Amino acid sequence: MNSKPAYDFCIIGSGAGGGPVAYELSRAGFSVVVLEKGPWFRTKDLTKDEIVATRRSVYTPSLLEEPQVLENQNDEGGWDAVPTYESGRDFWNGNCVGGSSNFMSGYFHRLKPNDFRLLSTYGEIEGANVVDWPISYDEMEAWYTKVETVVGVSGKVVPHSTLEPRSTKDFPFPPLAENIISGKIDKACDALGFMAKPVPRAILSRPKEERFSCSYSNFCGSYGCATDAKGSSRVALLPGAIATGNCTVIPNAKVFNLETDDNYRVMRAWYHDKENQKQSIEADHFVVAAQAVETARLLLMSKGKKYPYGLANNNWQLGKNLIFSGGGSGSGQFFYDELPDDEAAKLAAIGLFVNRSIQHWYEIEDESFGGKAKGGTIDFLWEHANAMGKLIRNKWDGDRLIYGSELKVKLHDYFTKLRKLRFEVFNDWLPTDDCFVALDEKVKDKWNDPVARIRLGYHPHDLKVGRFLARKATNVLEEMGAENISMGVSGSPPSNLMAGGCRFGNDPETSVLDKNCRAHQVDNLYVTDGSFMPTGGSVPYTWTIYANAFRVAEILKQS
Amino acid sequence: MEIVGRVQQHLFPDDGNGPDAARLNADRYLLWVLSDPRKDPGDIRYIINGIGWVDETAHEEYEKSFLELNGREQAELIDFIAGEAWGSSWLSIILTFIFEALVADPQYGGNVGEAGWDWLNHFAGIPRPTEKLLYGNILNTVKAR
Repeated sequence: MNSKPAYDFCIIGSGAGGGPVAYELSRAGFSVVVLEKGPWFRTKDLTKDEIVATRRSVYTPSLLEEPQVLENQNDEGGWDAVPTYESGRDFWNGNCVGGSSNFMSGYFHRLKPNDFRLLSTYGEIEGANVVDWPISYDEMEAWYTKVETVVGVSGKVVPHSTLEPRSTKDFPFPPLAENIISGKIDKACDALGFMAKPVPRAILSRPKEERFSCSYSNFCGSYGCATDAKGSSRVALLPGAIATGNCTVIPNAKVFNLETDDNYRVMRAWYHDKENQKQSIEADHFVVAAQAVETARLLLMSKGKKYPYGLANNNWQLGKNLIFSGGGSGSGQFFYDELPDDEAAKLAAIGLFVNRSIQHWYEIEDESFGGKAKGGTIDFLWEHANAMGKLIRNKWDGDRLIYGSELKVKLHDYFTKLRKLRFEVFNDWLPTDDCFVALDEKVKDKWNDPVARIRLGYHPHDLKVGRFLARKATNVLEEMGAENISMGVSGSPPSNLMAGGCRFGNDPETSVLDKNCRAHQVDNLYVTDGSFMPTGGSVPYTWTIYANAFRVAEILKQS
Repeated sequence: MEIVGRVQQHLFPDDGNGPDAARLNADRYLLWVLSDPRKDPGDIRYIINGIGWVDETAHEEYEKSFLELNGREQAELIDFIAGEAWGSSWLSIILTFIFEALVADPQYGGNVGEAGWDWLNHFAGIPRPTEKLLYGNILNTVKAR
C-alpha cells in the first residue's frame, strides 16, 4: 500500500531560491519542509566581528572538511585542477539558514528586456553558447515588483536611457541616506554627458513588520544584518512561512541524494543530519535551490536506475554552462587635506551609502565592437570597512614586503588621511564549454561524498566589455578629482555571483529545465536558485533569483 | 615563541607611531591562532617551521642563534630573510597575524585597550560579539540550541 508522503514539498536550500517557494507554498496551505545544510544563525548571533565574518570559516564550511576542486587554464592551454584546501581559495558562500542572502550587499538591479533575448538581439559570439530565454521580461516583471514589496527594496526610480519597464511608479521604500560623494558622482557624470542613477538596495530604509530599518553600521556585505533591514531569505521570507504552521526548517541537514523510482519521480531526499546520521524525507515534489555549483553537484550525485549519469542528466546538460559575473573593479582616492574641513568631515562620515550606478552603456554602440553590443553596469561603492583588507593590501610594494616603521607610517596614513571610492563592473559572463561543474573522481568531503570539480574558463569577449566599462568608470573618477586611480579586469570569477548549470529552455536536448524550471526528465523536480539562468545579464543575480522563485512558486501553487 | 616575538617586534616596532607588536600582545595572539583545532595543520606547521628556518639562517649568517644576535644584527637578518622568497612569504604571514592582533576585537587577546582601533581611527562595527559569539564558540553556541 502506498502512503502519502509526509510533505507536499521538500525544498533543498533556504536562500534566495528556496525562501520564496517556502513562503508562497506554506501560505497557500501546502506542507513544506526546508532542508538546509548549514546552521541556523539568529539575528542576535550576527555581530560585526571581523574574525567571524571574514577571517575564518564560520558562515562557510571548513575547506578541510568540505573542499571543492577548481580548474584553471594554464599557459599551455591545459587545465590545472587544485583542491581548495591546497590553494586556500574559498569558493563557498553562506552555508546557513537564509544562505548567502544573509551576507549580500543587496545591490538590486533588474535584468532588462534584452537580457532575455541576448542571442536574437546581439547575435552569436563564436565560442559562446548564447541563447534566448524561454520567457520574456514581461513575464518576469510582476515578480520583480513582488520582491520589492515582500523582501523590501529601497530606492528611487529616475528616468534614464536604459530604464527597464515597470508596472509601479516607484519603490515601496525611499532611498537610504547617502554620503556627499553621491552628489559628486552625479556632477561628474553630468559634466561628462551621461547620468548616474540611484542604486536600489534590498535594505529597508523604514521599518517593515518585525524588521527594523538600516542602522548604517558600515558593515553590510559579508556580514549578517543586526537589524533585519537586509532582505535575506532568513528574515524576509522564512518567518512568514514558519508562522503558517505549514513550514518546517531543518538546519544542519546536508542532502546527498535524491532517490528516484521507476516512474521518473523523486521519492525521497537523503541527508546527513546534525549528528552525521543518514536520514530521509519523502515528499510529493522536490525543489532544489542549493546555489548553482552545489545544485549541480547534488543532481550529479543522485544517480538512479532511470538516471545513470545523474538526475536530469540524460542529455548530458547538467552542470554545463555555469556562469559568473564578468567585469572587474577599480578605485580612486580622495585626500582629506585637499578638501575644505567641512567637506572632508562629510566625506569621512561612515555608514552612509554611495548608491550610484551607471547603466548608460548597458548597450554599447562603439566601433571597437563593430556596432551594437551588450554592455553592463558600473556600481560605485566605498572601500569595505574591513580593517584587515586594508592592512593586507598595504603590506606589499610590488614584490617587496614592507615592514617596520615604513609600514606603520603607510598604514596610519592610509587609515587616517584618505578615503577610497571603488567601482565594480558587471557584464555578461558568456556561457562556454569551458565553464561547468562535474564531480571530482578522487577528492571527497567529510561524508565521503565526491566534491564539485569546477572548471573556470571565461570568454575573451567578457574582458573586452569589462575593460570598456572600467575605462568609463575611471573617466568619472578623474572628473571627480580622485587620485591614484586604478582598474583591473580579469577572467577570475567572483564566487558570490554564480548561476547556470541547469539552464532552462524549451529544448530538452540543450537544457535541463523547462520554462517553468521543472526538470525536463523528472516529473516532480524543480530548481529555483540561479542555476536556471542560461545567460546572466549584467547585474548581480539575487533580485532575479528571488523573482524567478516567486514565479515558479506561483506555477507550483496553480498546478 | 621568543624568536617569533622578537621577529614580530622588528616587523611592528615601538617607534612612537602607534602600538608595537608587544603592546598588542601579538605573540600571545599568534599562540591562540596556532591552537585553533579548525586551522589547517599544514598552515600551523608552516608557521612553526618558519621559526626554525629563521634560527637556521642566523646560524648560517652569524654562527649564532637568532636570540643571541643583538638588535641591529636581528634587524639585518630580517632584512636578509625578507629578500628571500621563502622569507618574504613567511614574514608576510607573521605580519597578517600581527594585523589581526592590531584590529580584531580585544576579546581575542590582541588590540589591548583598543589601541589598534584608536591608532588607526578605525570604528569597529556594532554589535560587537559577546564571548559566546566569538570565533571558537559561536558554532557550538548555535548548534547547542
